[in-house]
Amino acid sequence: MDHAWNLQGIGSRPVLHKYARSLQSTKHPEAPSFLANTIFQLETIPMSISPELQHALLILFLSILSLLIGNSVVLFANRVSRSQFIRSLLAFGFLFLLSILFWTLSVQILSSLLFGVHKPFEDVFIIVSRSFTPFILGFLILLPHFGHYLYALLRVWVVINLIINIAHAYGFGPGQALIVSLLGWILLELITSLSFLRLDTVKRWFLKITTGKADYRDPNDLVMEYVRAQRALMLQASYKQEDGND
Amino acid sequence: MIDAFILTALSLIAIVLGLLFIMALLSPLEALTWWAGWSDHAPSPGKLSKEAREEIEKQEEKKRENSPPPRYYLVYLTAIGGVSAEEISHREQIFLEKLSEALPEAIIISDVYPFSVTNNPLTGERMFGWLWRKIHEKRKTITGGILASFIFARNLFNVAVSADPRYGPINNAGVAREITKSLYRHDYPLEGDIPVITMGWSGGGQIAVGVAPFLHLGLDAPIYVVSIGGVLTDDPSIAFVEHLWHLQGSKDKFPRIGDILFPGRWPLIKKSTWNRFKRAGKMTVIVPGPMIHTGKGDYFDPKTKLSDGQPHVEKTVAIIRDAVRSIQPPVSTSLQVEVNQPLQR
Repeated sequence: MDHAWNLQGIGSRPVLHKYARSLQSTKHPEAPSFLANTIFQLETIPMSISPELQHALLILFLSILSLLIGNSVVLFANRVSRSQFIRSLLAFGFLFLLSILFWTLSVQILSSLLFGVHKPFEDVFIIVSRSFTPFILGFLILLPHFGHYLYALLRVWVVINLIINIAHAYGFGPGQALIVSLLGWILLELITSLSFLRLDTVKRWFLKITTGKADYRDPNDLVMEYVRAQRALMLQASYKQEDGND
Repeated sequence: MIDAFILTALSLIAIVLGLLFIMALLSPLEALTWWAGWSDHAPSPGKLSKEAREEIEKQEEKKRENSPPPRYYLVYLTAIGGVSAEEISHREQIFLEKLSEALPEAIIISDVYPFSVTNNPLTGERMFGWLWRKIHEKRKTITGGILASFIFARNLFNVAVSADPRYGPINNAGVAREITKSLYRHDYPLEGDIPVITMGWSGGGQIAVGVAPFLHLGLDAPIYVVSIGGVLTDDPSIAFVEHLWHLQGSKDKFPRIGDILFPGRWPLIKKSTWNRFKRAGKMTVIVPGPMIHTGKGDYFDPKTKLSDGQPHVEKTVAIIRDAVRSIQPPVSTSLQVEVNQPLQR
């Protein structure tokens, strides 16, 4: 059994270090070898997440969370339970992250195809993610009356941010940056509206298995339906009562 | 010394603004959590509540008694200074008594608190009920008077919730449900048809409009609105109102807030529900006199008199009486026919 583990460089991680040593000292090293190897492989891999990427991921996480909380009215309206509420936030967050990844990919491809400038995916992802910084204020959408105006404002701010960030990072003019940013968004809209791709079905399936609800309906429709149903029930009950009395 | 004073004053302002901001942010939660079933008295779609079943039995007994029903039902909704439907001001009580005398053919209801989806008073069983009770108790003192601004703010945010297209339907359906319960408690017939007039003072005016669709659908009744210095928004619920009478004293500037804050009320937005409603001739604006929004000289003041010697409250009552009596009774629908209607939809 080759235990050519390199214990150097993991001194800053005392818990794992100690655990790895305990695995080494065991009488039957082959038993926990897989686990020990995995730990040491993880430990010896250089940290691939750059501080810029960490920063971008943090922005993205906070933005998505804040935005989802701001838009949570649809979850309440659809009468989700507390646990469904959390799961729905996570599921919607995941779907939102997918659309951001797609947008990143489109910016990367479009800038390369249209203007011959290529940047690594990670760099473009950082640019796109940072553009979402205004959505950290997404929870403000909850504010009655002013909330939906703020939402519109935040969305415009994000798009402007993206255009500026792309222009700056790629050295593009405003027109080029506008084309690269918005074409991706249009493409995303187009793809999601193509019925033969059945993305809607996939989304409904995903929401069904993660949150237990496939359809999230408009609050007004739900409330109207409830009032009509209550009225119908009352009249039916009254009719039955009359019949019973007769 | 002055610096310390300014610093303290600024800190206090920042704290107050921060509190108001948090209150605004959390204001939709009462309605949302109620609807989602996270709180007490949640609606139960698909089944009738025990109260509703009891009401049906009571109605059957009433039918056998054969007593003539009233011609109108008026529902009074208090202003944003209110903490409950019971603890309304003395002036409002005088107004309601006088209105009751002026309209003996009507039943006047005033037991619904318009700023709660469960008719739960601000001073009732709720998380910060104790705080609202303390503020309300000390309202007559100077400190209490200042603190009472939080009551106004809390209810003002509730008006904004009612007017918000995202939360409005849920909030207004809750208040309408409470009004419906109260109407049935006051023997409103299950067949509907009898005109229901919601009367709202100040912020209650918006709620009076907001509940219209749900009362119309839930009761199968024509809904009319009387706004007494009401701060009306661009809520599309107005489409369900048969007619709106808006009383606005010449010295009352508060209702004008709605003209500015709500784009649907701007004359520029011609296709808004509000502007279409106005163009259809369904709105009557009445200037009863030099009345202010609230306090001495307001719509309900029994002491302040107009130039012709008529007290303000008498004038307000006379206008509402005439407005209500101008309502034509609707054509009655048979209960038997209506029973199947909702099922066919």
